Amino acid sequence: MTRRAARALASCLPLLAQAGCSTQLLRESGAALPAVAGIRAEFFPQREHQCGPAALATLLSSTGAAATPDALAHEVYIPGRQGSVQAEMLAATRRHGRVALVLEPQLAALLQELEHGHAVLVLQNFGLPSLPLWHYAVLVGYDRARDAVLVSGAGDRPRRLAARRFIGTWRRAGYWSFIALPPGGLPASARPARYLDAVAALEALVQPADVYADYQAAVGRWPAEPLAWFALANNRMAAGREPEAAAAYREVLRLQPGNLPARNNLALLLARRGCIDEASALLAPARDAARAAAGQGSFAAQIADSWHEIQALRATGTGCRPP
Amino acid sequence: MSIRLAAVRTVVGVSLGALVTAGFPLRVHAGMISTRAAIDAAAPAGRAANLERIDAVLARTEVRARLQSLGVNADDAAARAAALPDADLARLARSVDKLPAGGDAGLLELAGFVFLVLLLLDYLDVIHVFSHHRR
Repeated sequence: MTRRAARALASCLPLLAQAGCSTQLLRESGAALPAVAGIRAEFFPQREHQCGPAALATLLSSTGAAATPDALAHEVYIPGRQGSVQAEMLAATRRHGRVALVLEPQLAALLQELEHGHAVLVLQNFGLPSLPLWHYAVLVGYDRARDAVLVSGAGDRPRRLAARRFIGTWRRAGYWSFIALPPGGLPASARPARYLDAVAALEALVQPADVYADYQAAVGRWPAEPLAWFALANNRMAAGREPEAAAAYREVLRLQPGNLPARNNLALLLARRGCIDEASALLAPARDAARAAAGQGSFAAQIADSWHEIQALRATGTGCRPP
Repeated sequence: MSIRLAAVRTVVGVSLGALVTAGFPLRVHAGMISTRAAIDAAAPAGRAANLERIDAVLARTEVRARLQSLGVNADDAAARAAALPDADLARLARSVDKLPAGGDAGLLELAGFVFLVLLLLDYLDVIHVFSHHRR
């Protein structure tokens, strides 16, 4: 058999699940439940090489988004490479209105998501590091006693794959996996910055209102995280909800008085409503801090621009209309 | 009449267009710092993010095993990483980022691992291999 044929055969065909062995990999990795079996997802028979579209359709169906592998093939399948690229899998998830969140490269994170009812799309490598045979599949559960994961396959039911076998193939694929979250759905494993990053990537493609529930959920889950309040404030601002945006910026500053982006944005909001004195008082310390910390991430240039804009607005003198 | 009508249509059209575009400029408020910029600014320099990346590496089974074989408890290593000053932490996180994500038994990756473990031990003051990294 030629190398190419071997690759074609192996790249998207389900391999036989190996019999469960006596090790306790799932238990050691923190599997908290005896089994996870209730995740509802639709399974699709896949054509040769098209494990990407099929796996993505399964993942999206688990979040209530309907998409067929055929439709998705146009979005993620690259015939020339007989496969789908990871970045496109994430982009396509976003195009279907779902937050695409890449998980930490740890089995524990994956198990935690499964326990919270989230299907996990994984990249596997059934070949060698030097001769990879890539495969996308969706984990929909696990069986701790048998030390196996439940994985989407060619048929209409998930099949069992020994944890040892799964971890081996997943490791050779760089421990890459991601989940799709419906509006307002929070991850079980991720920390705030990673989640907010994933929501911001979706926000760039949709209307502000479409990710409002996500940011709202983020401040509910991490009420002491300034970045979550800042993201919510910007989202409200983009939706034209200035009074609520101002309240969220003020919450950032209550948690972290030195937060320069929040000072900058709240000062601009206030100044454009004629509240020049309050805006200047807010921005003055930020201006000093940004100057002192001049360098990457200090926002010195933006804050200087804002300062000039606020002082220019002073001349127009329209009177303060507090948000 | 039809010319006037056309003119009225144009005026209405232009005004409507202006109205529609005025409805969405909120999307990009001039001068406002975006969520993306705030995340990016927080990420590379953010102490929490750096620790998160190092913790992720330390949680990897093969790294734990390697540290263990050298007599270092991985949890202790994580605690020591948490005690590093910001600049050292950022440097360590950057080094960790350059390593292959997977870490299989491929020769290059194995070399990467040995390097990583040595680097970690060096940073954590267990051994001093890369003296130029410190001081």
